[in-house]
Amino acid sequence: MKTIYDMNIGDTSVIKSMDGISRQVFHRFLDLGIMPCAKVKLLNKINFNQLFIIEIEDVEICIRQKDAKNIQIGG
Amino acid sequence: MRYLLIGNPNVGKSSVFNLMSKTYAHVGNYGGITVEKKQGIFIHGDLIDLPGTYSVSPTSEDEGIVTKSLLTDEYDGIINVIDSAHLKRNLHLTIQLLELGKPVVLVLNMIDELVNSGKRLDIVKLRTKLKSKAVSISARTKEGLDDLLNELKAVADNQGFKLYYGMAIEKAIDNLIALMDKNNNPTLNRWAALQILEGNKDILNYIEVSDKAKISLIISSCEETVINDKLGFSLKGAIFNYRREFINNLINDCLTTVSNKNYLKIKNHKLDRIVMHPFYGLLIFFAVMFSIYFFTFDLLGTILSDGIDIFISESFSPFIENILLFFGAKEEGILISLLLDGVIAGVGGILVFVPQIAILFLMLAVIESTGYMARVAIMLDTLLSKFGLNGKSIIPLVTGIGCNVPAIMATRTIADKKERLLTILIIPFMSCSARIPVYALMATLFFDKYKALVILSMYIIGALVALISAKLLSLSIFKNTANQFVLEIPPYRLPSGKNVYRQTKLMINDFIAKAGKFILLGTIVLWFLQYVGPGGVAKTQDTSFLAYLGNFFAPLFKPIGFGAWQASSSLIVGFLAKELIFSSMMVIYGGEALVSTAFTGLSAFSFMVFSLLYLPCLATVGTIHQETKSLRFTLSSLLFTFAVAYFVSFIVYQVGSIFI
Repeated sequence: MKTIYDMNIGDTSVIKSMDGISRQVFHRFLDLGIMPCAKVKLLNKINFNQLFIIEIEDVEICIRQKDAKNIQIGG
Repeated sequence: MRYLLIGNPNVGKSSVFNLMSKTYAHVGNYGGITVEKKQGIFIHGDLIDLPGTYSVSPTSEDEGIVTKSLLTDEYDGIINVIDSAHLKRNLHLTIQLLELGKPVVLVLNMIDELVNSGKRLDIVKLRTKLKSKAVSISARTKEGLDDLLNELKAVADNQGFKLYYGMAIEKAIDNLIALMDKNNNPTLNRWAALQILEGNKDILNYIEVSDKAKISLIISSCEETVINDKLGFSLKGAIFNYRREFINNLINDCLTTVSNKNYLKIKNHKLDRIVMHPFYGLLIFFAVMFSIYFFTFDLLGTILSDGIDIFISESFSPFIENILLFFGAKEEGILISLLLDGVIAGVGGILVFVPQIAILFLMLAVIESTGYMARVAIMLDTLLSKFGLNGKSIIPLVTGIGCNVPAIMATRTIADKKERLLTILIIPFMSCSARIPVYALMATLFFDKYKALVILSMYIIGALVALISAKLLSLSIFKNTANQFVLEIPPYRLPSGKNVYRQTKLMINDFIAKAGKFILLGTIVLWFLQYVGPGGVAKTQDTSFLAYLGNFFAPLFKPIGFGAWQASSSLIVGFLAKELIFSSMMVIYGGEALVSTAFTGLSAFSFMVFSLLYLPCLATVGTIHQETKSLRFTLSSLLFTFAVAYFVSFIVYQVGSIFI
């Protein structure tokens, strides 16, 4: 399944699931609006693809590569 | 009337606080500036500014303060500050606050940003749906302030906001309430039950529950149902989903889009690409740090400081001497010695640095308020994670250049405990403003031509030692950090002149107050210890109490280049406050001229390095203990910094001796 890691800069998609993310990080993500069914846009990949800048609900958020690989998207 | 100010990070709580009260709270453009409670007074009573939090259930140290305040503080109502442009996310916290049953006033801040983005909010509808007071304001333009103050005159009863969470969760709520004290307010019990289901463990510290073993049973069985019924990926997730549905409906009803305006954002993204670029971004960061340094030490700051120095030494000090002589004080007598060699040399010498320190704080305040620091944290995250740190560590480390005390408190936003402790341990290596006087003294006397470069080297050595220590510690004691990083990127904002001014003024007042009380007292005690010895008034300095004390420790410092009692005494008193290293040298040596004969270039450099790295000052030690609540950690940090300082100075002096 495709993840945020596979997105191209400028792409928009919807988060399907967040398998593989630890419980603590999952709850932190919920607080920030990173959750299944949320529309996500990839704004930038920086530090040689180590960090992913995404936009959710008009908020820009920076996540690490390992988390980007664990957020499945589709549609 | 007493209100708690609560809201998400970086929604302008502290700006609202500053707008309403005379007390000043630190403001900046990134989440996590307020890390502890701050109290102020406004026309209708007291205001308490709390750290920003996304939810009542805490995920980091600073957020835990909110739960505690909600349940243990005495207050009449809650002011919930909301970023109008990001309602969807902000309202999750609002629901949790409304559910508590206390009177809530919603403050929809940054309404100008919402309007500028082409949207309109129907505030009357919002009030009705949430059954609570609501005011839209802009803390920046003061629009809506009068309305807000009007609403705060009296509290309105909470009209009982209640959200339905579906059968499974409602059943678990009832089961939990059954374990609580029946005499409690039923709304409070329901709220506590919901919080427990969300995973807020802190609640159990404040609300009595009869059968604690049963709680985990209720939680796990509810979570099982929730996951089986596909209501969410976890219990908290399911609760979140119910709230999200309510919020989405609410926003559909209350928010309308008038026009689409995205121009500003596109510009931000382009700027961000450069600012967070692995190469250009780093270059910009160094350029910013260097210009702070350049303005503080090389350009404006030094000129102003030199002016004050000349005034004190050539006009003020001789004038005071003339006054004292006129009133019959003896030349070379005790009073003249105390005032001129003690107080004016020590305290006046510190005040000389006020312009430099003002410029340093001013520039740090400007940078904080633009939103640049969050970008630096992101840009440096990959690099810092190689050292066992976290991108967020950079904010306390840069704050440490101003003062180590707020820097240590700023680590509260680092969620992982090990990464946080590691950051605390290396902050004292960041060269704070109190160390500037001793650098300036030594650099002027021994490296006049390369003064700016030598002082710059202190900052670089400090940062390098911090990074290397972090690396070594992360390989040994602080292994296996959680290694997580997620950061909300604030929009760029223009610094508010008023906030920058108030912040700088606050820091300068602190600095002057410290010089006026602590340093004044220190120099008087120091002068006294130097004036008297075991045999009464000391005939020569060498027989004074201070010399005895200094001599005791002096052999320890011999291998690093300064084995004289005068140097070791300065370092001992410098533990109280780093400015005292400079002040005490002026008192003990009796002026700059004699310092220049007591050191060589190499031993002076070694002394500077040692002053930079050895023991954090007493206030910092106190803060480390307060933040870590561990005496062992605090003592270890003292031992660690001292050992590192000794080691580095030893290398500097011994290796230097081979070449010079």
